[in-house]
Amino acid sequence: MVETAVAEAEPENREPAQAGVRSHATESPAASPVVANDDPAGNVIELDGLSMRFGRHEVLKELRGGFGGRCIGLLGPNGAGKTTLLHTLLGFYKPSAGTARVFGHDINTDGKMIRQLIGYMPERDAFIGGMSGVRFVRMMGEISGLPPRQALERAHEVFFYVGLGEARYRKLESYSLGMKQLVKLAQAIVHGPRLIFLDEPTNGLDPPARVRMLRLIREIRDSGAAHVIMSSHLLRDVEECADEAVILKRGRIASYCNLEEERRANRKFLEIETNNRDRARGDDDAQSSFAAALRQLGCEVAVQNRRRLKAVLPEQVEIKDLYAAAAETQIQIRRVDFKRDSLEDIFLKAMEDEPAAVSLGDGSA
Amino acid sequence: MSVYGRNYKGYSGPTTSAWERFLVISRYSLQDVFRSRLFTGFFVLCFVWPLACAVLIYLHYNIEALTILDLSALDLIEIDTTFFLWGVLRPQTAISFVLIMIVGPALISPDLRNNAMPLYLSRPLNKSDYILGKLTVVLLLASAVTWVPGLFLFFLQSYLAGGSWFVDHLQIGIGVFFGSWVWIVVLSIFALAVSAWVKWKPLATMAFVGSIIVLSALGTVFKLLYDTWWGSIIVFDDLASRVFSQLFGVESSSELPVFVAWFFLAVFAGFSLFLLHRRIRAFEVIS
Repeated sequence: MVETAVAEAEPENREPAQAGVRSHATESPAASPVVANDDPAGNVIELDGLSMRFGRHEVLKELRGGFGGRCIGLLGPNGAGKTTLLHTLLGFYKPSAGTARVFGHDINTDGKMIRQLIGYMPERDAFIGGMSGVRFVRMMGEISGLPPRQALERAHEVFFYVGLGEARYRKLESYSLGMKQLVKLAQAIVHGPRLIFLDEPTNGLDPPARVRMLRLIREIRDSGAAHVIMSSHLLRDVEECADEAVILKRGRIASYCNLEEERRANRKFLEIETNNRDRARGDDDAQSSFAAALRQLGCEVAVQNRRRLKAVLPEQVEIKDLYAAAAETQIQIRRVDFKRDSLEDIFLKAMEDEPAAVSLGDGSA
Repeated sequence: MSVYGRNYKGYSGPTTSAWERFLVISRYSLQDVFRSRLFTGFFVLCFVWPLACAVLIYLHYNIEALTILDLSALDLIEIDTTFFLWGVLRPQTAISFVLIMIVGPALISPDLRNNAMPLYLSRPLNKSDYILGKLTVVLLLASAVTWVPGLFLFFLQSYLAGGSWFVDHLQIGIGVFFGSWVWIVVLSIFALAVSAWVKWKPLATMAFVGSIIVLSALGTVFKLLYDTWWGSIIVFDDLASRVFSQLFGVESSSELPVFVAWFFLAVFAGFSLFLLHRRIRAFEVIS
């Protein structure tokens, strides 16, 4: 499960996000947006008209699309259907219509095969009573198909990996909430799954424990050995870990956002506030000369007023080049903003779009 | 400061075959059961009676031992169908009832109380595998004190008696084997069903015993009041006794038709299985 390596040689084998959609798009819930992927074979999950109904309550409504990112954040308010989607993919519930495929396996027919490939960390407290931590994780590994010896080895390794090595022989009942969360993560990854479902992984954690949990998720993501689907209502957690975000609202996909693309695109778009240090010339002149210097660097520049301008930086230009240009033209840079749509903006935009409420009129709330 | 860092890595080693994974549940549950010294002591005591029976059979064929004890073979209980039915099977099934009462109700309730179902069912295991895994524990333990010693005694007797005793009394072997299985399967499924519906272990044990006793009392009262065998259909012991009599090929004092006994035992097991299947799920769904 884990390998020891010299700390300096940190591997950087992270795969780029595979989903084809480059920017977020809020769509009408009347027809759930298709999260397109240029390479369907690269999809981890494909939703094909997936609907899920509990009695008269339709929780998931014809979800369509494919996700292939390393870490996919499932966002949405309470009751949006995040957990139900995970449970349906795990085979806990039978879809009322449509289907989904995980690594190409149909959830209606290949449930066991799919669960072989998945590690699941449930939201609620879940453990087997009367067991020590390491015995519990070993048992989970064995049920997932690991031979007893290998399961024991990996149970020990995974306990050290999540930082509970010293507590592995303690009874699970004696663990604190934060430790139980880490044990849930340990049992989810003990068998080295290719896809890991994390349902509200930071629930109930204090700040240091939360930081540790998010760091572990990022490490798993960056290892390239597993895809992670992280369901959360905490935007910051998703933003810190995910490279794709799917926003669910009332059982539909309200928005899809490739955060990795967003980060890359937005990092180049700057809003700069300046101050003229050369009193001998006018502010307009100073601003113009600074803009000209930036253009010489290859930037696209738009002057907003005598103190503000916007610039799009090409790949090769770095922030220090801006400061060099500013020094040359006797301009003081007072503030640089990376102007971007934050996940919060995207989320709020998705929540504001009310057509979803219109669909509630069909009695499927 | 640590020199080494640890990184996540997938698993690409050997895996076990899919069919045997339910046995992991059985193995771990058995380990948990035998962690109790009290239970281990009880389990050992379960073999005292079969051992006594084995000594009795041995004495029948050992003149020297009988001479030392100043006994003759005629003083001993005859080794026949009655001996195996009333001297071996009935006592051992009674012991197995106690054993199932101790083990069965404690198997599923802790998992439900600690929300462990999603952990099991999110793995390559379905609820039938889970139930089979738990059922195997009770069946193994109950088998060890019923048909296994029963058949051992039957074969011991056959060996010592020699000749055609084995063939002439084959019905005894069949009765011990199938009679034990009927008893332990029905009771085990019922115990697991109770365990699945009553989350608190001591209460589950009380519910298991209580429901058997209450049903038996009601059935007996009904039989006495209305002078009819219909009351027997809810008395587990009456149903089992009737089936045992048929399997051993002996006359039964009960008026309960044998097919009715089989039918209601099947209904009892089927209903328990239905309750069990309804309860074993990853999450409760409130429609």
